[in-house]
Amino acid sequence: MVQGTLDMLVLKALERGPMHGYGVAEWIHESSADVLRVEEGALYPALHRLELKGMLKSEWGASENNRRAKYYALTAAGRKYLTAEQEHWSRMTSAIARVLQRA
Amino acid sequence: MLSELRLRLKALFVRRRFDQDLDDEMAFHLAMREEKLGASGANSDAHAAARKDFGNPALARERCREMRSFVFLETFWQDVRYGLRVLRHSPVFTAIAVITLALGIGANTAIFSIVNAVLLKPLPFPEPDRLLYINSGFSNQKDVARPFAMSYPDFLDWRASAKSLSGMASYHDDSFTLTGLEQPLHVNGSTVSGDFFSVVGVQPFLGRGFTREEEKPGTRVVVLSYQLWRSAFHGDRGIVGRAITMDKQSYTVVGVMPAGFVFPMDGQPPALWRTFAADGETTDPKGRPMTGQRGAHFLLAVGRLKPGVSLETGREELNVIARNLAAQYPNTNKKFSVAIVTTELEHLVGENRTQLMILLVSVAVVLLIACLNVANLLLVRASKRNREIAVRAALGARRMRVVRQMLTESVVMGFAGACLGIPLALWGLKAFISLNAAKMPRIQSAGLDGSVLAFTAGIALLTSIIFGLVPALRASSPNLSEFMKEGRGTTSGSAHQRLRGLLVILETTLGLTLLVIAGLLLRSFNRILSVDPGMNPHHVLTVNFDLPEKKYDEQQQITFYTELLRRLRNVPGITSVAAVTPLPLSGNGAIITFQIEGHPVPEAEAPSADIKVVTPNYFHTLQIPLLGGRDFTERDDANAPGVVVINQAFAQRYFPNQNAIGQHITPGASNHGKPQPREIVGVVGNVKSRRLDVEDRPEYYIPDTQLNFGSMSVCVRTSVEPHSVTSAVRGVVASMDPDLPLYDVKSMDEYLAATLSTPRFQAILLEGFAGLALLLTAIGLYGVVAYAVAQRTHEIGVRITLGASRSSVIKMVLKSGFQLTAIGLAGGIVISLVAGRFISSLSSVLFGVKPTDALTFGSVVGIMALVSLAACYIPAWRASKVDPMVALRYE
Repeated sequence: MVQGTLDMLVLKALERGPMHGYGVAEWIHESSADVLRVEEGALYPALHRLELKGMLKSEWGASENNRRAKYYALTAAGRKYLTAEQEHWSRMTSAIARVLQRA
Repeated sequence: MLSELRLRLKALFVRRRFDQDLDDEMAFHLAMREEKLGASGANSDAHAAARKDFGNPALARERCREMRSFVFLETFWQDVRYGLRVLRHSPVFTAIAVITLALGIGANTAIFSIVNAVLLKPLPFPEPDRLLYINSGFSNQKDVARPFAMSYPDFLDWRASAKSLSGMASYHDDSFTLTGLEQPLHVNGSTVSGDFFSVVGVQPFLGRGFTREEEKPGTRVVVLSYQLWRSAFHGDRGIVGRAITMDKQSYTVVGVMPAGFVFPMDGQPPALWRTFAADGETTDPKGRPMTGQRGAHFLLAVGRLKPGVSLETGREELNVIARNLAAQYPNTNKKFSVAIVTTELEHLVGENRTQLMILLVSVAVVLLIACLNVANLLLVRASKRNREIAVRAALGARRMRVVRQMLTESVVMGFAGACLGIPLALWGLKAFISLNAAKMPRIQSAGLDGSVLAFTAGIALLTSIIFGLVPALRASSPNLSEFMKEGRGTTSGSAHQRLRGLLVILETTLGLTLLVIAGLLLRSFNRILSVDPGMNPHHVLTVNFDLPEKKYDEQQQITFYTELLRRLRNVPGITSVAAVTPLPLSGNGAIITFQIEGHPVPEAEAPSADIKVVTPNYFHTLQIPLLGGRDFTERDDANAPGVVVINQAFAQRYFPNQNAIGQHITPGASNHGKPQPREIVGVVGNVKSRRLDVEDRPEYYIPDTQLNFGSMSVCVRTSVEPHSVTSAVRGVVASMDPDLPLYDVKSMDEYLAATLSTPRFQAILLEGFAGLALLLTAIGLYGVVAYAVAQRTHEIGVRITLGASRSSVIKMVLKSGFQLTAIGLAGGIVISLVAGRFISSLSSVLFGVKPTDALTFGSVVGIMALVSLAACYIPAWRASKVDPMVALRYE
């Protein structure tokens, strides 16, 4: 999966609220009806990169079963970026669809 | 953006915590997945399955880390540590390489430090590049104008008319005797014009400088140097306004210069400055003071360009003024129709530039040879490390990474060499300065300052890249699978060998060139050494003192010297005495025009020659041969007819094909009134009065009873070691006048040695560099041949088994090694011829030696051939001793 697309999905996952890395991976998996599976080797670099860019902020906390986990949350800049990327994505896909429909 | 930077910086320093965090995160992820899998069945390998799904944690870790901090810095540091480890593992190699580099870098640092202090650093005055050095230009029409001192009337006219200068000042050196202190003290000083300090740009820190007003005859003001103020006047802050006694006259101190101020910067640093009011006076009521004699040239001048005016414009204008003066006063100025103008810095150091450039280039060549040697060593090691590099490549290291790592290793070696080289440089610098002290201006301030250290770091880096690049690129070549194979005989091995051979050829070429240049300089020095000075300088002591005019008029001076010489003659150990001014080889000289009786020429065209004023017996004391006629006697006094003695060059130039004795000439100088004709009563041999490496110049001598030139240098020939009579001489002088301190007490040998010091020094230094280059080249050659032998051990074993004799093995190895040398020598000879020609075209470097001197070339080529032979012979001999059984098993 293209890096930019992954970033967008990760941000979307966190739109509802803070989650840890495992939760993000699971959410994407489930929301895509098991089609998209994010490799952890790609997920964590993506999370760290987004944090470096200032789209996310992180915090250590306790998980559901009282394990120590790092939670990520969207920042205001992250929200803005997500909206912009989503718009861009819809425009792109409709354009591509239109091209493909012309048989 | 800023936050990203901050995070990266933080990551650099708290690496471990970030690593730990990431590990924890991934451990948590793994645990959750395990749970999930365990919950849905297959419990036992939930763990394994979870891990499989996870992917490679190491890769994730690596990618995250890469994202975080400054990767380059971290890997650089890693490379450095790795490099240090590798170097530690091969201590002999490291030692040889680092010492080689230390010698090269240290020598370069020392020489650069001198070049920096002498040539590059700006002068310590405000806007130093606007300070100009101005001379009259003397030319006999057809010759190019030579720089010459100027006269007072010329200077005053120049000062008044030069619009492109904001100020112009004159100066000439003088010496004074201070009395009224604990001891009479002799000092060197400068007689200057009123604007002197403002033109140079530095004002006294106590009191003030001079004014134009104070140039008027009768004014007696003086400015002290910091050094003199502290030593003779004990740093007395109330000195301004007080009177001191100089040459038995009272002078008022008006200022003290700040510490470290020296101007003029060539020659002896002045201890004080006075105005030229004294030159405006004259004791002879009928004579003109120096300030009124347009034909008396003894002034030097400096000027400051107005802001916005270029050197060219200034030079142009001063030339125009000179031309106008020549037209206005043809009798005195016809031959001085141009001005010679340079910047002050150029004047000070221009002469030394050639010498220093030769040194700099030589020492750079030595460093280059050192680089080639280290490159050779690295190539050997690289071929041994082929396996290690192949493994690394197999593990995924990119080529760039490997190259970078090897370069880093080289840089580490380079900087280790630089660190070791710096104390070497300091030692070399001290030696250089002590050997050369008075000769080069500003050399005392040469040291390891910021710019020099930056230079050192720069060349360390440059040399590291030079010697490191070739082996690094070769080692990281893509055909690495070959390296994994056991055994020898890989094609890249022989390519290496060819490359190493090429490097040795280059070294030999460079080394030969350096040796040839050094050899030429040595021959040149030897030539100068064997020049006959025209006199016998051994066992002659010379002493100086100043007779103050206030206390001794002309007649009293004559009486003083006569009596002094008579008393000195009785001192045991002294066999002959005389006095002369100016003293040969002392760096002083005087030139006065003259007319030849019977062949008068217009005053403007009058010839001129060196003049000396002497007492009788001078020629006998210095053992200058009398070729015809007679010496002066006591009867040639003030009332007797004027007499003159000329040297052979004078006779040959002005009285060719005739007997000069009995002819008359009229020198343009006299004690009182109009100059009178003098009869030539003797002809003496030529004496090298100024330098040993110039042609003999016409010279004429006048007795001191008939012409007064001020204080003279007393020469005594001794039968014992010259300096052993110093205290006796001092005693005799003191017994006649206790206020006459002696100065410049030196033997004639010392003056001679001083003349020789520069060419001797150059020859020694260059010999040293050449010797170093030879050593390095020999080591390089030995290394290549030894390695080649090691490579061919198997082959040699086979040969011996098949019946080859030991001597044929030796011959075989010698031949291959000597091939390299021969090519290198051939190339070196070609380059040396070119270089030699270039050097001889530079002024006055080679004396009496042609740049194609056969003896030099022959002996240098011979030496190098011998050394190379020795370097090849050792491994050849070892090869012949190889036990064939061992060799055959050797892989």
